[in-house]
Amino acid sequence: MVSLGNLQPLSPQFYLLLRHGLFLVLFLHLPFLGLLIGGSAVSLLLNFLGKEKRDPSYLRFSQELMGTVLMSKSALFMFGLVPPLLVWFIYARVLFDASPLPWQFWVVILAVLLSGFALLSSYRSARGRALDLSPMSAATGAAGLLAVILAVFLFSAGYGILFNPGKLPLLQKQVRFFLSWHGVVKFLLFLAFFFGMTGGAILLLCGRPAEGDEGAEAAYRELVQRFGANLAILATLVLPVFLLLDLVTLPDIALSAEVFVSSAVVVLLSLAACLTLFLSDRKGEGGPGARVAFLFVLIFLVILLRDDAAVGNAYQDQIAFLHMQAPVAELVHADEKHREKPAAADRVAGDAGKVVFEKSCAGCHRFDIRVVGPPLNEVVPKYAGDAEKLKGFIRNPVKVNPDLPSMPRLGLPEEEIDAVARYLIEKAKAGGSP
Amino acid sequence: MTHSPAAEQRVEKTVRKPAILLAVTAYFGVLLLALAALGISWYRAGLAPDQPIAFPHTIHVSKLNLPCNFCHIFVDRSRHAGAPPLEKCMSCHTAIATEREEIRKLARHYEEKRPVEWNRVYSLPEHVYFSHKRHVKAQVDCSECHGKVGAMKKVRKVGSLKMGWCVSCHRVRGASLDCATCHK
Ligand code: HEC
Ligand code: HEC
Ligand code: HEC
Ligand code: HEC
Ligand code: HEC
Ligand code: HEC
Repeated sequence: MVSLGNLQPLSPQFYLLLRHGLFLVLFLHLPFLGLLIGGSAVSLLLNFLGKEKRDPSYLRFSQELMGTVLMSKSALFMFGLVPPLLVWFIYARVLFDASPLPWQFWVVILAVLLSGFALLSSYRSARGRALDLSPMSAATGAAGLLAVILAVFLFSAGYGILFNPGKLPLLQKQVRFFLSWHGVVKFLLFLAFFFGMTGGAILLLCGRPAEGDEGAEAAYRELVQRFGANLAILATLVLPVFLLLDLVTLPDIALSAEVFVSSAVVVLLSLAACLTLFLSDRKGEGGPGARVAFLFVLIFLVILLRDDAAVGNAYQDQIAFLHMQAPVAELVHADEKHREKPAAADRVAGDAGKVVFEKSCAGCHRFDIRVVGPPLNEVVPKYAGDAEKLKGFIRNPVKVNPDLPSMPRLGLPEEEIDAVARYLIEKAKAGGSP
Repeated sequence: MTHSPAAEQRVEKTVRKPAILLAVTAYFGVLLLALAALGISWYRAGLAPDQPIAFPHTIHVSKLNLPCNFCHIFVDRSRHAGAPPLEKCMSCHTAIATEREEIRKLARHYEEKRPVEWNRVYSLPEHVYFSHKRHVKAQVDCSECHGKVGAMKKVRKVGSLKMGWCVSCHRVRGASLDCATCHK
């Protein structure tokens, strides 16, 4: 079975690159999904309203919107399906300690997304054909919308885990731990952003004039602008609330001053978007559409930068750990390379011993001078003929020299003790420093 | 009552718009205040408090390979892991890095027989019973609750220590979920 979690551990730099890469992919992917979800939802709502009120301008708006938000099949593929696959890969590598989400999870997300896209495409062509939509087509659209929303929900739940490394061991034992309040709040936050984006896009792109009566055209434009503005205003009011909830549900270890400051920036940007919408008179060309859409993209960018920082906080110890492991890992690696060449058994033991020495002893010992422990060139020769005795000391150190502290019992496995003891005896015999 | 369009516009300009602006600004003001409150409570909680002596676990655990119970001697024997006695530190630091400021502080404490008052990072409320011994015996690794301490220059709190945190792990590990286990 494919299990990306079993890949080699990462170097710290590569890890950082992947983490930023993850947020870059999300920055490209989620606004796209947002327009799709927001646009289809509003289009379906307008379809319903148009039927209720028997007002064809609602139906026309519904049609125009659907034509605007749903891109061609290749764009769907590029922005809709490739990113989740990339995210899958990056995700498995970022959470290098564990592979918390089995590959089946991502297959389900992809399948749900794919069926959602197919249903929405079918809804769009039906929508484009006629103002009057059969209930069947509307139902298809609603099903597609629900499928895409479900995929976003699943994704948000998985995304929430990224901020809580403490949960990974639990998750590996029981899948249900992948649901969390934090994941749910992330989902709601994304939805608020989606509808805000859609509102901005409506202001910017919809209400295009057509041939016909000028008065009716102006009325149609007015309807579209009002609708878009109200949607965007609602989003600016709701989004900061979800952002606060997100802060409340974020695990403590993911928090830092940067996270709070960038959250404040998001609230201020929402305020700016809200005021832009209220203050512009919404008439004529040069309405607030472009500014509002831009502000929403900016809001999303800051949210992602904030999440990037939060994930960095959550994993800061693991990264520091990688940094510290890097030199030892290189040694082990070099040792493995050596081993591939045919060599005398003793030489191999010597190399393995060197690795153990660097890993477990070098903090306290050098051969030539005293560090924490005595210089090994002075103390090891007395064990020259008796590796067993030396092994006994390393296994279970006893007090030897009253002027020195005691050596702790390190609890190494027997092979390592054997290798390092042989290494010491050989090295001290040669009398050199390593 | 009827309004001319001009009067209507005046009302819009002088009354309705300022009122809406005020309401919107007040709303966002409240949100910002709530955000500030969250930030302050996070800051006050001090998840990584400064210590009287900046003791680095990085050097002692990862470089020197000292096992945890070399210093936290009671961790497999009692409820509390315990902070190490100064003699432990001085067994090395009578000779090592004696010229450094932090080690001088340490030596002064030792000479004056004044224990270092470490700031607690992890602590539970009185009404909760917790024991390290049981967890160490059940082979729960230190890092599952305390994170990679060996990589922390300054210890910071990793687990929430909320009830849900304890209970989730107990559920997964099949440990007791009885209220009386933790509330005595
Ligand atoms: C935390 C520091 C520390 C580490 C890590 C450490 N040692 Fe030591 N070692 C000491 C000290 C201190 C002494 C002196 C003990 C004494 O004289 O009582 C010592 C003494 C020794 C001696 C001399 C014993 C004697 O008979 O005089 C040997 C050999 C030795 N260590 C080997 C090792 C090896 C091999 C490793 C790695 C697997 C290791 N040490 C890791 C601190 C350490
Ligand atoms: C050389 C001695 C030494 C070793 C070895 C050591 N510690 Fe510590 N530890 C201390 C001292 C001193 C403190 C108090 C100062 C501080 O919090 O940094 C402490 C504090 C802590 C705390 C915070 C306690 C609290 O709530 O205030 C934790 C958790 C901890 N250590 C875990 C570990 C773990 C896990 C290991 C093994 C990987 C370990 N320690 C190894 C000396 C040591
Ligand atoms: C096994 C020996 C050993 C023990 C026990 C030990 N230390 Fe250390 N400590 C060292 C070594 C080695 C260094 C690294 C010195 C250097 O950077 O050259 C060090 C560094 C330090 C430093 C950093 C000094 C600086 O500013 O760079 C502090 C602080 C410190 N130790 C405090 C303590 C305290 C407190 C204890 C007791 C809980 C303790 N040590 C126990 C060996 C030990
Ligand atoms: C099951 C989770 C868990 C594990 C495993 C665990 N701890 Fe703790 N640790 C705690 C909790 C909870 C506290 C707070 C205890 C309190 O306030 O009574 C704590 C407190 C501490 C303290 C602070 C002082 C004290 O004496 O209580 C130290 C030091 C410590 N732990 C070290 C360790 C070491 C070393 C290990 C590994 C051998 C370890 N812990 C394993 C949960 C854990
Ligand atoms: C990482 C997993 C983990 C976490 C977190 C954890 N525990 Fe445990 N705990 C265990 C396991 C496993 C046992 C079972 C030990 C046994 O069977 O002897 C246990 C046993 C206990 C026991 C003894 C149960 C008995 O049968 O007498 C108490 C008390 C306890 N835990 C309290 C707590 C408290 C309080 C917390 C939260 C502060 C906590 N635990 C967090 C894993 C955990
Ligand atoms: C595994 C350990 C564990 C078990 C089992 C457990 N609790 Fe708790 N409980 C805790 C801890 C830890 C806290 C402290 C939480 C905190 O500091 O916020 C707590 C706090 C509480 C509080 C105080 C309110 C609060 O959040 O501070 C109540 C009430 C409570 N528990 C009730 C129960 C009841 C009822 C049960 C049985 C169904 C139970 N607990 C089982 C660990 C446990």
